[in-house]
Amino acid sequence: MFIQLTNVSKTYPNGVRALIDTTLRIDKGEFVFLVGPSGAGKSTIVKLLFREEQASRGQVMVNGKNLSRLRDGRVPYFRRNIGMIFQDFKLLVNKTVYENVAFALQVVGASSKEIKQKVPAVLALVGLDKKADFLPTQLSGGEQQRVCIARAVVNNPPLVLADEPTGNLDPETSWDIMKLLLDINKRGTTIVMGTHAKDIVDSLRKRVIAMERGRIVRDEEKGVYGNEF
Amino acid sequence: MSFNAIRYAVTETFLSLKRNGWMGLASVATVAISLIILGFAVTLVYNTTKITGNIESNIEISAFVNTAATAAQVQTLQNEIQQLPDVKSVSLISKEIALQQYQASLNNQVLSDLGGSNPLPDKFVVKAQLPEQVAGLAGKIGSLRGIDKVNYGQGVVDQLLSFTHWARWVGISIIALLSIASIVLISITIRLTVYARRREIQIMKFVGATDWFIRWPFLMEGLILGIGGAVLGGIVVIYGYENLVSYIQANLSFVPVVKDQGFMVILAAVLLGSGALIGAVGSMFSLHKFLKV
Ligand SMILES: Nc1ncnc2c1ncn2[C@@H]1O[C@H](COP(=O)(O)OP(=O)(O)O)[C@@H](O)[C@H]1O
Ligand SMILES: [Mg+2]
Repeated sequence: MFIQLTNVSKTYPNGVRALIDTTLRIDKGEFVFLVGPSGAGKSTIVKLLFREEQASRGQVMVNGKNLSRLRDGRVPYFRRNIGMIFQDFKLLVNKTVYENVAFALQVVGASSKEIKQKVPAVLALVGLDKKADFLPTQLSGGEQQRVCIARAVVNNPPLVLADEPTGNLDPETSWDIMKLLLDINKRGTTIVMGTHAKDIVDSLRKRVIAMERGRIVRDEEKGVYGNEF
Repeated sequence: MSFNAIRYAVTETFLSLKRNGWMGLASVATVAISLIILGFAVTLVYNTTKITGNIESNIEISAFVNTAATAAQVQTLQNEIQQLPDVKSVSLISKEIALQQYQASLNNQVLSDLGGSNPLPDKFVVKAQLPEQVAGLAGKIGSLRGIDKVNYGQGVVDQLLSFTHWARWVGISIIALLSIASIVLISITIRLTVYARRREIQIMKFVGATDWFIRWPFLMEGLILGIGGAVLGGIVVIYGYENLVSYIQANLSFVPVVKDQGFMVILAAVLLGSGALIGAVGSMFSLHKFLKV
């Protein structure tokens, strides 16, 4: 067991019940789509796994850690084993591609030798080795998402969380990004991805967890996006 | 902290100082202005304290001896007064000297009019250790046998005392208010800096940087801005004060001002310390909120 939610509920301070008594298990190396209409609770699950939010009830286990017992001071170390990919990329606009990726290593105290080895390698992996010195504003949306992915996987984390990573991209670029994520998954990295991209979900036939109003309504291997929403 | 973390903090601090150039200048200017006001307030309070202290310690009690007293009785009285508690000094102004002084002030006319007799009494001039003791001491001296009358400018002492207390409290309150105001101003300014970099902070939190790793560059930036402002403000205060003192001594010599190297050194240290503290406290306040990701 790699990820285990047991009877988890999440009620936000404003009273919204975003997740209701949810139990869910994800094994190492899986590729999982979280689908469902807006407000269903997909992002809430991602945030719970990243310990950006804490469960109101129930138990969240990630990579052998019980997150409700994790002290605040340990959270940074826990997060070093998770790569986050965002819909809006979250790049630093005043740093180059290389610096954006190196930044993720610097702030966790990597040596400059390590940085000089890892950054070019991961930029080659995402196909941006030629654009290392570009600023984010000089890149297309797809290229910016590749930088975000490079930054997420440069530490070789066992888990990658992606919340609508193709939400801001055109269909063709979205497919390039998906191929990259599949490659990363093939190397053994577990990927949990919230998405609205019906075409992608339907053609890849991975595990699909469908959510609605804070509950899991369907969970199937080799699943499809579905017609219920 | 590892060497790399230190290098990162230093690099980021200076990059950020450079990047936020105008905002940094605004912070430095705010610290400088606050500390200039603080510095002049401190020198003003220090001066008034010193000056009123001088006036206070110069309050004298005049005790007039009965004109029938013999020289030996006068001597005994002087010893008695000397032995009273709270007495700082006693000096005798004999009736002969008093007459001479009086005469001198009236161009030698009086002596002949008096036909050689001296109507003036002997007088003791007594100083108390502390101004608060003047009234009590005057009472005790007045009750001694052989003392006719005691004079110490009764109302004046009380007025002066209440005025100096009042002046000190006003001064201290002004300084306290200004200190709070400058901390608030700095924390707002550094909050702007932190706000401008909130994306960076958020990303650092997402990739697993520890809170202290994130804090250091901001703390150092705050310290540098605070100390920079203090240096600037300190130069203005010290240079300005020295010039003011020279001007007053040359043109308004009746105004007593304090010229004191030791005080200036302490003032400089206080300003630098305040600047550093303001910078550190300000940046910590501002970071607190943004670290919750
Ligand atoms: N920080 C928050 N505070 C209050 N309500 C929130 C917060 N985040 C999400 N919600 C609410 O929780 C519900 C689920 O949101 P979310 O998990 O973002 O759904 P999804 O990602 O599936 O669109 C929504 O009703 C949303 O408005
Ligand atoms: Mg969402």
